[in-house]
Parts: sequence; C-alpha cells; structure tokens
Amino acid sequence: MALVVILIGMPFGVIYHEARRTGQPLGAYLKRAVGKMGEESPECPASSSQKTVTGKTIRFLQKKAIGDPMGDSKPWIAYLTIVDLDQDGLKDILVCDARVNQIRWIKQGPINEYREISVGTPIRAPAHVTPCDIDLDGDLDLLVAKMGMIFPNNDRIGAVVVLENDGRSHFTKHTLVENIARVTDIEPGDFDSDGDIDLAVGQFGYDDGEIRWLENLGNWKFRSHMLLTLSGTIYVPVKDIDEDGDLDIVALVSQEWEEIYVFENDGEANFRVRLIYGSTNEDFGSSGISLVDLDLDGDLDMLYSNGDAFDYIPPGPRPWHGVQWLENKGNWDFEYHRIGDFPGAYSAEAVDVDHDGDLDVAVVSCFNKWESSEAQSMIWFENTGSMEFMQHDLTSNPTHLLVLDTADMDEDGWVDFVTGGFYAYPPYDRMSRVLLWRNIWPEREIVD
Amino acid sequence: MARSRIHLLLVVGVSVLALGIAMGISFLVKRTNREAVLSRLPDMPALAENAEVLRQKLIDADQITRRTVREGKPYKQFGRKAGELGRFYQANHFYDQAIPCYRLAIELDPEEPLWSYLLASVYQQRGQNESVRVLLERTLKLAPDYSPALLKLADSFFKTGGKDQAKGSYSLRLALLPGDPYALLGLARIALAKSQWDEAQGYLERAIESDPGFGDAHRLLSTVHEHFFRTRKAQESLEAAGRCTRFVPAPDPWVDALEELCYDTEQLLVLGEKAIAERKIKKALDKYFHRAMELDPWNPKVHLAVGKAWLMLSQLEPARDSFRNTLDLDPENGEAHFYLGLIMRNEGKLFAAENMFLRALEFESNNPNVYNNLGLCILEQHKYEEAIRYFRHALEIYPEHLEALYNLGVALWASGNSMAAVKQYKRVLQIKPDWRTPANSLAWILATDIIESMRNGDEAVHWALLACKGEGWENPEYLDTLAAAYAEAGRFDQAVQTAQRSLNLARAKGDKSLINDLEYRLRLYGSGKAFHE
Repeated sequence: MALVVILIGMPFGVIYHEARRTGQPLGAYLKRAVGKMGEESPECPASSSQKTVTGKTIRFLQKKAIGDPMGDSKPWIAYLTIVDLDQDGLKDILVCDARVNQIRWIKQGPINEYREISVGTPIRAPAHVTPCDIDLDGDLDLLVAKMGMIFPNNDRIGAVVVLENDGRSHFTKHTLVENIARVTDIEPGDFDSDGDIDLAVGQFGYDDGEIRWLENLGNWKFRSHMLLTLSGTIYVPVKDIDEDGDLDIVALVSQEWEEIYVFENDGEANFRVRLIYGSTNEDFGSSGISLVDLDLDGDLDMLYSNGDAFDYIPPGPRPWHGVQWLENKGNWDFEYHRIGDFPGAYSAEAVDVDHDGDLDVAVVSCFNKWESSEAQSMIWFENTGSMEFMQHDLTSNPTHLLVLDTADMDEDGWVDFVTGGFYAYPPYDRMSRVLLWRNIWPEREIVD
Repeated sequence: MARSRIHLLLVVGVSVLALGIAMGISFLVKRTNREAVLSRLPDMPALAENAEVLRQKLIDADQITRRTVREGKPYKQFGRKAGELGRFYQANHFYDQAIPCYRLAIELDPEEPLWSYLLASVYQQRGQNESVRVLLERTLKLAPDYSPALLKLADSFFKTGGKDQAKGSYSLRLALLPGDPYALLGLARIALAKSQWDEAQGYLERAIESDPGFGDAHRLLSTVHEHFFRTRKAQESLEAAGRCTRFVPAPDPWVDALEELCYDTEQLLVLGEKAIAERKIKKALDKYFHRAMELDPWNPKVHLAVGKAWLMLSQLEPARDSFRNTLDLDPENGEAHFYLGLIMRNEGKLFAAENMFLRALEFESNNPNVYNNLGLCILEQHKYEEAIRYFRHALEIYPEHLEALYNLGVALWASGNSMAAVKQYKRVLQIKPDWRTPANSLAWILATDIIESMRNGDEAVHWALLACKGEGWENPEYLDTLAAAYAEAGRFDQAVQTAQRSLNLARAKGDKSLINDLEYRLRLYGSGKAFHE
C-alpha cells in the first residue's frame, strides 16, 4: 500500500509542484505533456488561413510570346481576355494596351499562329474590354472601359466606349458616356427584361467613384441609373447569383472600402443593394473577382484575389496578399475561405489544370519581391479534394504579371494560359508583353 | 531480526526505486511539457534578404523567449515573451510566425487583452472576419474600454451583413468617445443601407462637426443631398471632400505601437508614404525615413523619399542634398534628376533646370511631368514655340494631363494665339470644371483681348465668377479679372466696385505692380471704358 502511495504520490506531488511553479493549471500541464494542448479553442480560433502548404514544382507550361514584340517601351497590358472575335472557330485574344492606348486583337489563324491587329481608334488608358453583341446584329462588338489615366487621378476623364463591329471586323467608336470618373469595367446584361442589352458600369474614380447601370434606349442612346457612389470599383461582373431568372450585378470595391456588393435585380431593374463581404483592412488591396462554381455544388461562388499595391511608393508585396473564395451557402450567405497567401496576387482563374475533375486556381502576381530571383509571378493552387489547396510554383520569369486568362487555345484538350505584363516599376530585367503558356501536362516534369 | 532487517532493506530499496521512478517520470513530464511549449514557438523565417539589424533583432528576441522556459521561469512570463516575439514578427510582416506566438501568449498569459487583440489584427488584415470577431469579443471582455476593438468589431459585423450587431458596437464606441467620426460614419452607413436618409444625414453632420476634414463623411453626405435633390448642397459637400486628406484610419495605439519595432526598410518607406498621405510630413521624416536611413544608408530609394519629403516642406537645401545622394548611389535615377530640376527652376536657375530635365528624360522618356516642367522652364525663358513643343509632347504621352493642357494654353496666349488658348482653357475646364486658374485665364482673354471678335463680356463674367467662387473672392487678381469682365459686359458700376475691392486686397498684400494696374483700370471703368490689352 505504502509503495503504491509512493509510486503514485511522489510523481504526482512533483508534477503538481512544477505546474504550480510555472503558473499552469494541473490539467493544462498534463495535457501539454501528452501533446494535447494548442488545439483550437472557442476563445482562440485557428485561422481559416493556416500557413500556405507548398508542394513540388510541376513543369507543364511552355511559354511563347505572341502578338507584337515589346520594342523599347515597357509593356502596360491592363487587361486581356480570350474570345473568338471573328467567330472563325479559333480562339483569339483581346488586349487592353495602356502603353499605346489601344485595344489590340491577337488573332489566331491558322491554329497556333498569331498576329496582332489594332482595333478602332486610340482610347486613353483602356482598362477593360468585354466582347458582346450589343446591337444584336450577330457579331461581337467591344465594350471598352476608358480610365483616361491608369494611375491615381480624381478628374472626370473616364468614358464608356463601344467599338461597333460591322461584321467584317472593322470597328466604329461610339462614346456612350464621357467626362465621368475613371471607368474600370463594363459588363452587358438585359437588366430590365426588355430584350435589349443594358450595361453595368464600374467607375474607380479616385476619391469620387460610382457604380451605375445604363439603360439601353435604342439607337446608341443610354440613360444612366446610379447604384452606389463609392470610390474604387474595379470589377462589375454580371450573373444570376440567386438563380431567380434575372441578372444581378456584383461589384468589387477597393480603396479604403474593400467590399463586395451584389445588386439584386427583381427582373425589372429595381436593384436591392447587398453588402456580401468586406475586409476591415483598408489596405487589403482587392485586385480581382470571378464568379464561378468553385466547389461544383451547383451555385455560383466568388473567387477573389487581393494583392494590389499601386497606392504606395514603393509598391510592393504585403503579408496579407493572397487568394480566397466566398462559398455561396444560399440565402445571400457567403462564407470566407482563404486559399493561400500570394504577395501581389492579381487575376485568379478557376481551372482544372490537372484534369482530376475539380477546379484548381491559377493566379498571377504584379507586386512580388522582385529583387529575389525566386519570387513567383505565377503559381497555381492545386485542389487536393475537399476544397483544400496546395501551392505549386509556376514561374518567376517574367515578373509583373497583371492579368491572366485561360482556355484551350490549341484544342488539344488541355487548358492553356495567357498572361499580360505591366511594368510601371522596376526591376525591368524580366519583362514580357503577352505570353501564351501551352499546357503540356501529359509530358510534365516534377522538380524536387 | 534478520528477517526484519531484510524487510527494512526491501522497503528502503523499493522506496528508493519508487522515488527514482517518480523523479524520472516527473523529469520526463517536465521536459515533455517544456518541449511541447517550445515546439510551438515558430521556427525563424528565412532572413537572408533582410537587413542585418532586423536579422539580429529577431534572433535575439527568439532566444530570449526560449530562454525563459529553459530557465524554468513561470509560463505566464514565457507567454508574455512569446507575445512580445509575436509583436516583433508582426511589425516586420512575418505573419506566419506571429500567429503561433500570439496563440501561445493567449494560452499562457490569459489575462492580457493585448495578445488576442493583436492576433485579431493579423487575421483582420487577412480579411478573416469570423476569426476576428471571436478574438475581439475576448479582448473586450478583458479591456471593455479599448475603443479601437469596438470599432473593429463593429466594422467586421457591418461588412458581413450584421447591421444590428454593428450598430450596437458603434454605439458603445460612441459612448466611450462622444462625437467619434468613425463610429458616426459607421452608423450613417447602416442608416443608408436601410434607406434611413434623414438619420444618415444626422450622423454625417455630427461626424463632420467633430472632424471637418473627414472626406468620406462629406462624400456620403453629398449622396444624401443628391437623394433629396439638393444639387447645390451635394456639390458643396463634394467640394468640401475634395479639400480633405485621403482616408486616415482611426488611431489604434496597440497596433500603432508596432511601428516602433519595424526594422524593414521597405516597410518603413511605406509607413512614411502613408504619413505623407495624411500630410504628416515631419513625422514621415523623423520617425520612418530617419530609421530607414540608419538601417540602410546606401539605399537610393531612401534618399529619394527623404528628398521628396523635404521638398514638400519647401526645404530646398536638404532636399537638394538628398537628391544628390540619390544620384551618387544611382546615377540613372530619373526621378532624382527631375526633382533637382524642379529645385533649380524654383530658384530661377532656368538654364541649369532645363539641362536637368533633359537629363531626366534620358531615363524617363515617357514621363509627361518632365516634359511639362521642361516646357514651363522654357516658357519662363520666353521661348514660346519651343515651350509649346514640349507641352504638346507631354500631351502626346498623356492627353488629359491637366497642367500641360493649361500651360499649353498659356504658351499659346503668350505667343499671340488667343483663339487657340481659349480652346485649350475650355478643354481643361471640361475635364476639371472647378479649377479656378484656367477659368480666370479664360475670362481675362474674353474680357480684354486685343482682337474685338475674341471678346465676349457676358461669357467672361461667367468664367470670372467661377474663378472667384469661395476663396477666390480673396484673390485680388481674380477680382481684377472679374472687374474687367464686368466692364466688357458694360456693367461699369459692378466693375468699379469689384476693382476697388481688388485694389484694397492688393494694397493689403503690398503688390505694387497690381496696385498700379488697378488704379489705371479703375479710372477707365469710372469713365465708362473697358480695359483691353
């Protein structure tokens, strides 16, 4: 009996003394000793962005410059999008070149051969181009968001421009609205269900910005309807978010607001404003949004990047930059999930890179730590199942990639990437203008 | 006897063995416990690219923290050290390392509100509202009077649709800080979201009363006025917003104190830029750039930033020194050449300034600001045609460059082409309708041009009144133009009155040249004649 007392009592006494001496409750002391302390507690939640998990580099992209060469100037590709503009069955690329102030068309034909063509007359600082048959004549016209100046400016120098296609890829310019706060995005949709195409317009401005929709009155006449007056709108994608049969407008507002709004349409262009998400970090740096069913559950989620740093000199990476998705839980409830950190993240795209049936996320960076040769300008987050993501590096050369779009350009069944470079700040030693990254996944190489 | 001795020995032996086992177990438990805690401290980040000072400071802070446990100090003390280490990591943007430090600190030093608040601030910066709210609520249990936590909690609720919870937290903050413009802005936004326009107006007006320089409150108030079709008031609010600084976050002493621990040059430059955006230029220089200079004295970016800050303070000598230092370290720095050119122009050394701008163009050939200032430099040498070329060049690069557009107008007028100048000024005013300077220049031509067909008294009055709006009424030159416009429009009584007011202001300022001109013009208007160039 005495032995039992000694065998149990003495270690207990020593442990009790040690726990008291180090100021810990006995339970916590013992738990810690058996490795059970440090898990999530209700008062100290684990972040939904645990440290980004990095996997091996898999080489599966072959890069090739397409379109006009860089020349002596530093490229400023503000936006690009893949579309079969001339409807010849081959995918082309439309580019907003803010250096030459023009929309450019990188036409594919024959397959895998590209040449660049100017579209319409110059447009000062084009920030976004959206193909759309606005006049319903069967060909694709172009909606061009004219910023007037890419860099901060509060003057009313923006415009809503349409380049009307005559069916033979000759374009006539119509300025629908001008002398307004800098325009960053124009998206089409029949909001009032009257059979014609209206427009959603995002205006960044600087201090004074706006979101409006333009009602199509016919004959190139449009009436403005203001939706919200906040500075910093960068995208206004249009989709039927609530699946009620009409088109809603989503707006990503940056600047000090850093918020995502949905303007819920009742089918007759009466919009109800809903604030879906906002960061309380006024330097969050919202940089891109796309509406996609990322978890393949049948509804539209939001893939959202933050990595903008144009505001500060020197512009550079911030530790909070990265990619996240807002899961549509229904009834206007969106749940935040961090996918991973990525300094300077811009333009995230959901794409099944590896053909495993789920959607991965590819993303480019415009503001990484370029002094380091290891700093990545493009990565992808592999969806490892259950919406868990693992980062894989793709490239550190070129630097300063602002925009990414994806599509199977060469019709080999694998999704290829197209990137645009924007070089407003040094270093200028690894530049590119428009690059096609051919996906050769079956011949991939895994690098240790 | 022998049996009892054997029994005793057996008891002693077993006791010693038990004691040994007990000591062994307790030693193992103690060690495992200590290692369990230490293993939760983060590994040092890769520091190869960081400044030596930062590297050494981080190594020291990490070692001090680990020593606390190894020396067997109370874990609360270790918790504090872990929290301090977390602060150091956070201040230098190593968030992945800061998070486990704060989690340890919260666990081992549970009565300290700082750790949960700082962990909340890391999550908040990453946009994770759910995690933030739990931590802020914990902070507020421990420190109910820490108003920044209330503001963050309210903002976090508001931005995820929790309007009622947000309103509660904003109201609590307002109770702690009566008149707080941030809480009032939040309450106004909630009211706007509920279409309670009158209530929103009340909150916004109170916010502006507390802080007349709060631009976002003026802007939202403009929206309210627009809703009620009060166009003039809406415009006034927008104009008031335009005079304010950009958005400045609410003070947050616990987070702001982290700046003292920042030893990252790039981050210090960003902090300096933020301070400048808030018009706190001395703070930028003394607090951030000074430390950046100490840490990285051979970094041209630091010298350039310092030079620009001095220039903003109109301290030309130290600004010049800084730009020269920049060029010593980076001879191809176009910006440093440009700013040196500005200083030389300011000092009237036009030829030297011209050369400096031309040198800047060698490295920044696409910078319209350089062309614009080069044009001004040439204009001041009365070489009008050449100046026009440079302004046009600036406008080729950026056609909406307002200053270049205006300066081109001035150069065209100086070269005798009033008609082209009028076009230029009108183009400027189309883009920026409230800019007084081109309105005044346009009015002057329309009122006084030597060519009769150029003159239009009524239109001149319109533009001159625009120039005089608000503070313009205190500007004797604008009033001089307005008087000339009245005279050209045949409104001589008003011309005399306005010219007299202008003369009084000119006399108060001691502007002899303008006084002479005005006395002459006053006599003309008195005799019913307009003034023409």
